[in-house]
Amino acid sequence: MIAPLRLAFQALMANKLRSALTMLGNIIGVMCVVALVNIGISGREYIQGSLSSIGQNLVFVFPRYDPDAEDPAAKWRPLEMSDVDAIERDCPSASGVSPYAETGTKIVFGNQHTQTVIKGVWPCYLEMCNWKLAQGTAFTESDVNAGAKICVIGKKVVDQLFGNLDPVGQIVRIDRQPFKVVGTLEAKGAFLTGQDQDNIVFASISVVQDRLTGLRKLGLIYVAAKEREDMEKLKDEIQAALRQSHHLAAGAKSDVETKDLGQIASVVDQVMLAATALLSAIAFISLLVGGIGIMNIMLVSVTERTREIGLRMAVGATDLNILLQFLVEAVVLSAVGGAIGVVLGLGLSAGVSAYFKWPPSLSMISIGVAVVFSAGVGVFFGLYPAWRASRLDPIVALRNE
Amino acid sequence: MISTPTDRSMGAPLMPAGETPAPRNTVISAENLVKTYGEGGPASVRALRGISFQIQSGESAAVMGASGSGKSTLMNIVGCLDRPTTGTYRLNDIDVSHESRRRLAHIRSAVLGFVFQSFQLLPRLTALENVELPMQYLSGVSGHKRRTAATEALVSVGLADKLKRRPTELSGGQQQRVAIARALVNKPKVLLADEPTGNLDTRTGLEVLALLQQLHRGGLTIILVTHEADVAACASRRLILRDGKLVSDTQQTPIDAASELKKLPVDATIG
Repeated sequence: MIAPLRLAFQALMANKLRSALTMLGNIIGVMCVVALVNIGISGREYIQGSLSSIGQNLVFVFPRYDPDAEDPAAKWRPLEMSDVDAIERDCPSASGVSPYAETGTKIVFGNQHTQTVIKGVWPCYLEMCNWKLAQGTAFTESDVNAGAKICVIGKKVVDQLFGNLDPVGQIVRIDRQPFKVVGTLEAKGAFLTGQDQDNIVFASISVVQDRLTGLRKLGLIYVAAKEREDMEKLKDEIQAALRQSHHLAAGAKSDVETKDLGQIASVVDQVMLAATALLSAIAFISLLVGGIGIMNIMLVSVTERTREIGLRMAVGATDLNILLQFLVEAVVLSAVGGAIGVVLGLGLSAGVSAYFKWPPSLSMISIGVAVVFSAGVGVFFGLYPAWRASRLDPIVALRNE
Repeated sequence: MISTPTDRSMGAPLMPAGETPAPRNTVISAENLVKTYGEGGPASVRALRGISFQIQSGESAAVMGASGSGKSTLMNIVGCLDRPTTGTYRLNDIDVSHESRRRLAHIRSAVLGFVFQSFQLLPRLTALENVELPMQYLSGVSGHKRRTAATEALVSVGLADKLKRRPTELSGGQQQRVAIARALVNKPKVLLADEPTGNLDTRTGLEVLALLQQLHRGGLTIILVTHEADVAACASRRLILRDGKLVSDTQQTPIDAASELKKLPVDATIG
């Protein structure tokens, strides 16, 4: 099979510009497929990484909004601290539970101040959500019980208020009330939405509720599962626990929602997948158009080389020899185009990933599919011209001028 | 190298089958060949109307006739490029009148060598590569063997110093010599030359004819198709066709092209 390959390369090199232009369809098609798939994978990895920075095994519990309820108060029934206790007591699959309350406020140190978000949680929250201490300590359960006005601050707040000073042990004012900084957090960077996760202050839920918001009700409870596989089980346990705690009648609709990040991630995945599929479909159309271009050029080539075909037949080439010669030429044309497309596509996806600081990806499957598909295009669209060539009558072909 | 399963067994059916007691040295045997184009239609043309002849191994025969006499049709059948409508054509004692396209291709590569009026060299290939071409379609010929055989063939036609030249870099006479080398490279039983001097001036034409005569003296069977009496005179037998029929078949003493060449005035050379 070396001879037909060499023959094909010779024939293609004899018309360099024409061959290159013919390949363009395949180059662009394969480049798009390879680039899109790899960019899609990079993007998904980035999103998943970003989501897991919040905490991987988390279930969010929040009140269900029920527009059909007759009693306005029943449309949206906030959660209570007793619900947190119920979950902690009745859900064996939970490794941690924390109430959650937040308020935007100004934080002041000396003559520096900044706008930030203060979050009231239980001490276990920091671990549940993958926060790591940079300096100092976190607050403890006894601090929560004692209503101690202490806080842990994010990297951004440290930079804004303290500069090069050591924040641990300093007193800051939050909503004009003094809080002692006991620890600082490692940076997490921006979340998917572009929100800076490091512009943050954590304090005990009791202090935030009593001193800052004045609200006893809760909008959100964080629950962490012991095992990732137990997420669904945990949700069922939470639902059961809260039905009991809310005294719901059997058969009544639950008044709380339980969601996890996996669900959010899968929505993001679906959107990404749909976008990749759509763009890939367009790229495949480009491959198809490229294939038609190859067919066109091969038909021209057969016509141009009618005499060559006649001569080859006269000196002993069979129909099959001629068919293979032109088929191999078409396949080489599309496969070389495909190979160039793979290289360009990988370059493009590497460039995009680097630009957005996404993790780079190299999907062998995308390369395989693109190469096989482009060679397939060569076979499919090369077959008819090659068949035409093989059916030529050598007498007529030799007489052709 | 393209190879098909039957390549290797090619030679066998071409050996004398022994079923008919034909003389051992008969290479070509045509019996009542008829060729009708567009049979049954209103524009049906009877190109051959029943032609019979035999050619022995080692003969040199000229087939003559005006255009429209059917000589091209006859040569296409003799060259296994076409099949007769009726009649029997035996080549090397094998009936090839009804063979498939594929079998005919194998027979052409193993038994026949072609020389055309317009040389039919592939412009992209060197002289050597052009001569190697017929061997591509025989299995079991290594690249090295092909190169050696092609070089030998080119040396034998006096082009030892032109191996790497492309056809455009060669004169008409040299191109036709490359074509003859290509026809010889598979060691054919019969060389078919269709107007081999038609595109050449007198001197170059004589040179080519002298080369063909030299090959004939070496034992090669040659069939020369021409409408020129001067060219036909170089063969030892002359068949004349008219309106699809063989009207004359005579033995003759061939003139010697090499000595004719010496008689030419020096200034008759053009190219």
